[in-house]
Amino acid sequence: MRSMNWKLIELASLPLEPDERTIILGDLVESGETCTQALIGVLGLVIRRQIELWRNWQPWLALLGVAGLSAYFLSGLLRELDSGLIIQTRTYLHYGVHYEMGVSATKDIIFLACATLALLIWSWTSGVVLGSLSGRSVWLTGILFYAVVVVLSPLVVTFALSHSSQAPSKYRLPLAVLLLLRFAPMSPAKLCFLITAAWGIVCGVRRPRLTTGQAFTLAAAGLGAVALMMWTGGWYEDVKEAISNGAWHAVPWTKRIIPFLFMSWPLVYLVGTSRDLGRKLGIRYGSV
Amino acid sequence: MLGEFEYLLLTSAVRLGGDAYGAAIRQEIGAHTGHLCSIGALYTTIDRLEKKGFVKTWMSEGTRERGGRAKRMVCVTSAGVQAATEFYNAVVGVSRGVSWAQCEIAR
Repeated sequence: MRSMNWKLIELASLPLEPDERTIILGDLVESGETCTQALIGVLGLVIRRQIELWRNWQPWLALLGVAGLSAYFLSGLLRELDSGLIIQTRTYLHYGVHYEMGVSATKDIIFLACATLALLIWSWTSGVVLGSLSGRSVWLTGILFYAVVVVLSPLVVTFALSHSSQAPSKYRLPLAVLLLLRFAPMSPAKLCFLITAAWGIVCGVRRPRLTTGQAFTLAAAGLGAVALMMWTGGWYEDVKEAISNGAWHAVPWTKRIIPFLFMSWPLVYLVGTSRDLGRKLGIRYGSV
Repeated sequence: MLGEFEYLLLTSAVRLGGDAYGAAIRQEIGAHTGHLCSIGALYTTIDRLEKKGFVKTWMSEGTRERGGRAKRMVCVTSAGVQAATEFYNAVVGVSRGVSWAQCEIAR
């Protein structure tokens, strides 16, 4: 088998457990099959193993809870942070002033810092829970998590931009180019998310359970981030109400907190399954 | 009751004795059935048989012809032998009197 083909087979066998991978690759060397036959064989085994994994509840919880629910709300935070950072940076670099959004520059900076902190905490936490629940199916749930946070939610916007009848045709970008731009982690916020979430996933796969102390510290940090987001987000609501002369009613914190509560379930999960507490509560826990 | 592929696998493993491992069992089954089974079918069946207690498996040392990679050795347990015997008896019993079985006897 040519080395290029062999590399392809080795790549296809990556989702297998290390021991099984060694055995399978050894068998293929010995049997002297063609590249196509070997590749079909390996992919067949990978698919069978993945189907076995998905018979457990853990990957489903990772898929629906983290790559679905948390990722959807996380994408909103990412978009908000992304647009805030880009607008402020561009305005400062071009004109040397801060982009006036109705609050002082200090408040804008504090808001962006709080949003960055919140993004880091929730990306890492979601990554840990995703890694610990998914086990060997993490390559699939991980890609979907990234896709939902970075691509899927802004997909509607992207599609609208590429097909907007109001935009002159020479300014319209092909959908494929826009999607590629969306998918690539080319903004500071996307990079922050990608690195932190990937680090969390690695931690979750290696050590699925935190100690109770670590879990409570993380939960406290998460709650702190929620409080900061509520506080700083309120500034913009007040400004909107003032500018609109009362036509716009500021959204109360009780409503604004809802997305953050959805995003925070991985924190509750990590506390509940932490080593000491999980044992006391009798929670049966384990990744696949 | 065993499945037909499980029976083929157990029989091939017993026939190979101490040399029973994934690739060898696959070759042995292929030699008698006329086509190589897929690696996926082989290893998931070995796992299933191991869970049922019909085989024991372990990792051997790597060999040069496999590029130093280990083999998954297979040994049929007494429960596996009993299950294969029951399957064989059932097949022989149910086949008695049918045309293709008589041809086999006449040969």
